[in-house]
Amino acid sequence: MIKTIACAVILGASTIAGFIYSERLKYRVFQLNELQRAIYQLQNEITYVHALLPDAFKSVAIKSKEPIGELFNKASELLSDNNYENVYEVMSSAMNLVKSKLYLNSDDLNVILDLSKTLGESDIEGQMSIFSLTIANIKKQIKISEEFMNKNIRMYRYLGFSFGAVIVIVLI
Amino acid sequence: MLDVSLLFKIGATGILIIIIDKILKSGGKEDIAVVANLAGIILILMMVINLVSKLFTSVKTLFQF
Repeated sequence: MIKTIACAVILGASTIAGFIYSERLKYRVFQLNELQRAIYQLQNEITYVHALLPDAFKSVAIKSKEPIGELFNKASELLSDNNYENVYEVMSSAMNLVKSKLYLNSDDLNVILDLSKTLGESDIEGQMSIFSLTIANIKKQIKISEEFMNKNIRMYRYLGFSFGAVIVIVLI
Repeated sequence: MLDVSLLFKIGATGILIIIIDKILKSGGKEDIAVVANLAGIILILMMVINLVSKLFTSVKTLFQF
């Protein structure tokens, strides 16, 4: 009796683990879409409103969903504290602070870090061109992540169950 | 008398390894599929290694006078 329950628990746990892992892929696509929206908004804040960078980040943070909102909020706070040399350092520190909530991989984060290298260091035209480059890169990442999600989401679910079944059979 | 449950166990493990191999290959992860196959072979070898060693010792005792 206990053996059966233990087997069911192992099978259930591995299946759930597979589902949770496959959900990460969905979260990545969601966060990339949110990031794209946030960058469009940041572009508006900088090119039309001419807002200062901490204020622009704050405004984007208020209008974005978690955890992208939190990333920009932290970046805004760190910029206001005035302890860092440039925006790049601020952005990488803010990313480290919210790393546990982000499901983005290093390529996705590099797109933001590349943007932050030139933020606030050129005129409006320069900023516009850098924003269009960033948006093109983000769109590329979204396409890649969507293809990866469609290909792998079912695979991880089936694999979770299959590994659980192998463990149960070995233990019986 | 041979324990029949071991045969069923090996059969079930084999079927599951085939399923895992198919899933990984359809996901484009051929290299991981090879590793999974090898893991399955090692798993089944570990199940039968006691019986094989028992067979060897019995053969050895058969030829010892």
